[in-house]
Amino acid sequence: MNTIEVLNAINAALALSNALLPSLQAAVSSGDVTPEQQAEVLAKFEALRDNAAAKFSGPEWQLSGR
Amino acid sequence: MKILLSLLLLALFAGCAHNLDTSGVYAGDQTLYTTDLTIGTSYDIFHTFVTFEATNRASLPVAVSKAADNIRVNAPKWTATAVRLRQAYVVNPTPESRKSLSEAIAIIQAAITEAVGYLSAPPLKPVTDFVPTTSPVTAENLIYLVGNYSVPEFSHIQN
Repeated sequence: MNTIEVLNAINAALALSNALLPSLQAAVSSGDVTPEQQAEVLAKFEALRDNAAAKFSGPEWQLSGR
Repeated sequence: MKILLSLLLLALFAGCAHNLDTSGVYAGDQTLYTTDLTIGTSYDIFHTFVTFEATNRASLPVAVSKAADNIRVNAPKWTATAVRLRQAYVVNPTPESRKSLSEAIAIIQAAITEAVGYLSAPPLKPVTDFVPTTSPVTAENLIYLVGNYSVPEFSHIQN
């Protein structure tokens, strides 16, 4: 694996871990899912539902053209 | 990283027994909780994937871009469909509405699995695609040259 491939893998891993940590904590936490955790999950869902158009816009959502 | 991702996917997809505190907003409804957790998490993963692809497009295979484009086109539709079926389930929580919602969530879960696969082990672009033999030597392709000094196509480049 060369330098760019290593950097790609590191970039992907970092981005993914940053994005997923909160969900990961909620998903794999042991014991009961507390009311606070449930409220966070619901709030996140509602934020996406109510702002879907904005969430799925931006340059990263433009087709690659490849 | 792969262990954490495996745990996440297992928790999301395997009907993991989330012991919901019944005093919470979901009142013990596993279907709704899993639906909302999956939809919310899917956006994070899809957004991470399309951003990763857009940022690193030049060094990624076309197949990754095509996979990202599939997410770009369909993720909004998958999400909208799941939201609509979730609402139908809330209004009328029958086995039929639950089944329809579960099917919509399964489609999202399959897309999550594909995106996570690309993110956890990005496919490699063949070096011959990246640096045409007639291209000038730049800092970017020099890195490739250093890592692939024995590739015959680059033997003409002088120090």
